[in-house]
Amino acid sequence: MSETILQQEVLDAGLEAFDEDWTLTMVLRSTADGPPLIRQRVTEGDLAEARSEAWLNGFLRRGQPDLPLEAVTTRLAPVVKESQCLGYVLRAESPGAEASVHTFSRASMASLAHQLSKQLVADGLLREGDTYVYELLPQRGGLTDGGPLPAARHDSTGMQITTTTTALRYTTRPLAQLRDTARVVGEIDDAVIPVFFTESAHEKSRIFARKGADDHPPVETGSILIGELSVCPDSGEMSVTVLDAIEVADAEQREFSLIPSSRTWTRVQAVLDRLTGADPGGTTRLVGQSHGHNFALDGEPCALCATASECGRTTVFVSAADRCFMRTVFAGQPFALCWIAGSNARGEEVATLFTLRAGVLKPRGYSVIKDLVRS
Amino acid sequence: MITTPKDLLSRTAPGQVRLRIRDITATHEAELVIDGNLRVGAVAETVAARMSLPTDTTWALRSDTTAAFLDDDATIGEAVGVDGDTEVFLTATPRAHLGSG
Repeated sequence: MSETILQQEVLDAGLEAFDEDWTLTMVLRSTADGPPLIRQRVTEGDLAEARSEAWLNGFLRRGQPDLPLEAVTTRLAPVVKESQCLGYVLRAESPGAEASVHTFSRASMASLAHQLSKQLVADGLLREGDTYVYELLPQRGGLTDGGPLPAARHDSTGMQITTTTTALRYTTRPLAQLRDTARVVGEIDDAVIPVFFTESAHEKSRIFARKGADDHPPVETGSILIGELSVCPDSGEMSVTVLDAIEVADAEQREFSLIPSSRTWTRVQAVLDRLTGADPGGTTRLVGQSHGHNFALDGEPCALCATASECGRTTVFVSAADRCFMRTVFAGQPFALCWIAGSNARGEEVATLFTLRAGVLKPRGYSVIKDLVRS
Repeated sequence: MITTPKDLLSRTAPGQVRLRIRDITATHEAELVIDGNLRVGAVAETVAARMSLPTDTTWALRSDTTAAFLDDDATIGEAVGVDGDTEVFLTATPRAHLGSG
């Protein structure tokens, strides 16, 4: 179901559904008409990524970059057509701010479906590699988030815990200035947050991602992206600029995975601490990762190879492991970048940037800039 | 009205440890005073939940001093090797990887 069609379904359904509280339950089956293998209620945790995306698009990109995620409350309503739940809508609100509505397809719950499928494999109800289908069942009755947590409380384990979330730090920079000398890669879509790479950061991302392609057999390699958030003083739009890439060094490099070690994270942390230590209260932060799916595609070129200008069979895709990495390492950071390099069936190098869109990491365009004069 | 100074309330008792835990991106931070007999794995999971990090993955604690992951099955007191008011700095790290497989 495309995003556009889903949005139309939402418009057709109207917004009265927000007057009621709703919960969603996920049901997994081995085939569309098979019996349910497992049911699980969708929790607030499962909706956290969607909530953070609503925060980004409803507030951060609309001139309210200082509004913390914790200050945003959301209400959920299902999108149902012909007794099928196509997805859901989140209405994001914050006192004194204009409410906004955001649609999410069923695919935004793919991570939950993947977890449930792993549980079914463990229980012997599915085999590794089996396909499955999942659906969402809406029910009336409360699942809304409660807004900010108390500043401190005693946990049920007896722990005395105080948690804090660092406020977003950003620079102020006109988008026109960033776009002035930019080279566009792919197609720019105003529906997603603008992303810029400096020329050197872009090249480093590519080099680190493709480094393992030369090994025999090829292995996965990559980098953690360092950058900053900017807000345009004219439009209020937020953007991400990648300024550097730190190699994922000392990691376990395998043909189909890249597993950071404690030394990897220590190095990343040390670089970040050095950058932020040199600029206390500054805007430098981790903004994403790049990595290479460096394995070669099997088989001969397909029939389209002789006529098509571009080859669409590539090793570049967002795997379940990539999704999990982005959801956990960059939790609550819906602007985080997932840049993946690889090759196509013609042996040509290809790369794609993915960011969240309607709860799914989707390919999108970006800009490469020559340099950035940091204030 | 009688008030208790904040630092007196948060002082550690015998057998307790004081921790400051942040996530990898240094976006979320938790300060804890906890029983040193709690298992590292349980502390990691609880803290991740309180920091609003996804709870459907496994979290490990990494020492900012030694850079090593703490043993999930050890007690937090044994793992950090100190108790009392000495604050120990740790990073909550998801057991996640990148890749096509």
